[in-house]
Amino acid sequence: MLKWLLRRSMTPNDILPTCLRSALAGALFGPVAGVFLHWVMGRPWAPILAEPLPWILRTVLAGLLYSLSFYIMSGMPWVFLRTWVRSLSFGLGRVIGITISASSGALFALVSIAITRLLWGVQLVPNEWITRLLALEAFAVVIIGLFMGTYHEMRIQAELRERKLAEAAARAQVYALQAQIAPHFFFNALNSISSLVSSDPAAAQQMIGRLAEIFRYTFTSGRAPMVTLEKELAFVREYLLLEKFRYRNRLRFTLDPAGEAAAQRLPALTLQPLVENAIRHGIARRMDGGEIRMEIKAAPESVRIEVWNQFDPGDGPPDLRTETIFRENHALANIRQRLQLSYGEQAAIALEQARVDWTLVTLTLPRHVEGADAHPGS
Amino acid sequence: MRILVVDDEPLAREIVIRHLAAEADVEVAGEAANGLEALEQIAALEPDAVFLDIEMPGLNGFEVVASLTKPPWIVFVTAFDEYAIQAFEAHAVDYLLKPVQAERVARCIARLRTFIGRDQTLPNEVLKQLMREVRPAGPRRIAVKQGNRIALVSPREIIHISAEEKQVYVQTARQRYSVDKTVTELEECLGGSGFFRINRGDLVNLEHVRELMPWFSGSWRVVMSNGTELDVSRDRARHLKRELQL
Repeated sequence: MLKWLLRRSMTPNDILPTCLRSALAGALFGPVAGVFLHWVMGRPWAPILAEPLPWILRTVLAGLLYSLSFYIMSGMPWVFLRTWVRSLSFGLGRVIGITISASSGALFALVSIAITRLLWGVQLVPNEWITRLLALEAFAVVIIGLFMGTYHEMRIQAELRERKLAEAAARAQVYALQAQIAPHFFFNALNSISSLVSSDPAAAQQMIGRLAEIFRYTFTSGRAPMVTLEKELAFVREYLLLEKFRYRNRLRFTLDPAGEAAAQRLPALTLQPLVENAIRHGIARRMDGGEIRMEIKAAPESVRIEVWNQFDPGDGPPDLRTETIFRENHALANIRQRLQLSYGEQAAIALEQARVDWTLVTLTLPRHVEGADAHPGS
Repeated sequence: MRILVVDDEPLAREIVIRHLAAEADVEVAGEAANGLEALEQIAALEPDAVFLDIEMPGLNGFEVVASLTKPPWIVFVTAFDEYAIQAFEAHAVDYLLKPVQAERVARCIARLRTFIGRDQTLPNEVLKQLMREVRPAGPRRIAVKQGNRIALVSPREIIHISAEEKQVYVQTARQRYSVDKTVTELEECLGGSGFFRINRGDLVNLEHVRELMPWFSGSWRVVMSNGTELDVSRDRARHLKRELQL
């Protein structure tokens, strides 16, 4: 039982320092408690702690006895159970914490009565002021417990939120890097370049340049996570032109100019993964290729970006259930997460089927124009 | 040695063909830009070997192989498919990684020389085993002949496959295709797609079974989604009921 408790509550490295801390606190608290009791009881220690011990030593010993019992009664349960209690939900943890404090407080009251009888040989009758003292103690325990519990909980919650945010941002960046250097995309691009090197060196050179631009944009996106729509669109164009080398006229695309929304800011690598998806799941599966269209619709309060692409209807209707579209580690889920981190609830992303063989991704962003941050790629 | 090069990207075909040109005894018999063209070319040209890209529109490389009754020697070409590569290694099936390198192609050709024209049995069994591993859920499409043309049919659309007087037919809601494969070959090709052999001549898509009713002397009858009724032989009925979790 004790072993089980220990294993649940702390690591072996924890036990010694905790016990030492308790002992130190007991040693400090003991003399104070002793002096206090000496004053309260108003009589010499008898019969056990009698002469020839000097007065001061008796006081200290009695205090130590009290504080030791206090720690065993009310400290130890908490020491063993705190990790478990902390792992519980806020409300339940608080209730259990208070119960432990209150019951160990009551137990301590009983033990003090026993000790008092042992030391002074008097039956401690709970007269009025002792009752008040006990009530006060119980009250203090509850208040302190509540206060500590709430404070502790708040700190844990704040820590958790911070950690979640940091994790999400890190994941987004890792994802962006991986998505960009999607192995298929990368090796196929290298294969095309390798093929062009001897037959069309100029084209090979151009393609290497494009590939370099794509990597540059990705690598710098970590340092400047927000970019202008104009920048992101230029990058999308770069990406599409590179893919055009591979798919030739199977890939057809039109990109709206950013126009009024050129200065709109958005997380870097928001649009490119959408286009990459459109190629992978749409165009590449159609035998004679297909079309991708990106339309920008600027309004005073928001900017709407629509990505249209054709898919192969022979594959059957696309699976548009929310849990499929936004499944973990997928482009859309990642984009949605980053939009939420940047704009809260003001941004939205949706995927739908339009007509027989088109899918449409709609991004709605709140108007957001800002002073100069560093732009990736600049 | 006559070779067919299949890839949906012209640049990718070009580089393979250029590397093949270095081999004196190799003739590039033709090129194909998708899985369907590949099937037509394989039937028309009967190449000794095919350099086959995996990621292609229509039929992908694996689906091409699944559609072939007697596949020639296959060298798979892929940019990145860790899972498939493991399977290739395990079955000693040839493959090339993109970007395609000259010495890799040369090594492949050297290996093919030891097989081709030496009366080796074709790589049928190995490929079948490989298909089961790389596509455990069965193919997305299968190729069926329709007159002189080849049509692509998604297994989901197929209601049943039946043999009638030595001719095998694939029935969908809209059409009936005659195919030059046996029911057993199609059953193998569709493995993992939810098909069930109810007797010697009929293969049904379990998704399209609407009713199951007792028939004479322990046999059963199924009603398909298009109203066709088919007999279930006595020994298959037990397995069918288990398959349908009855």
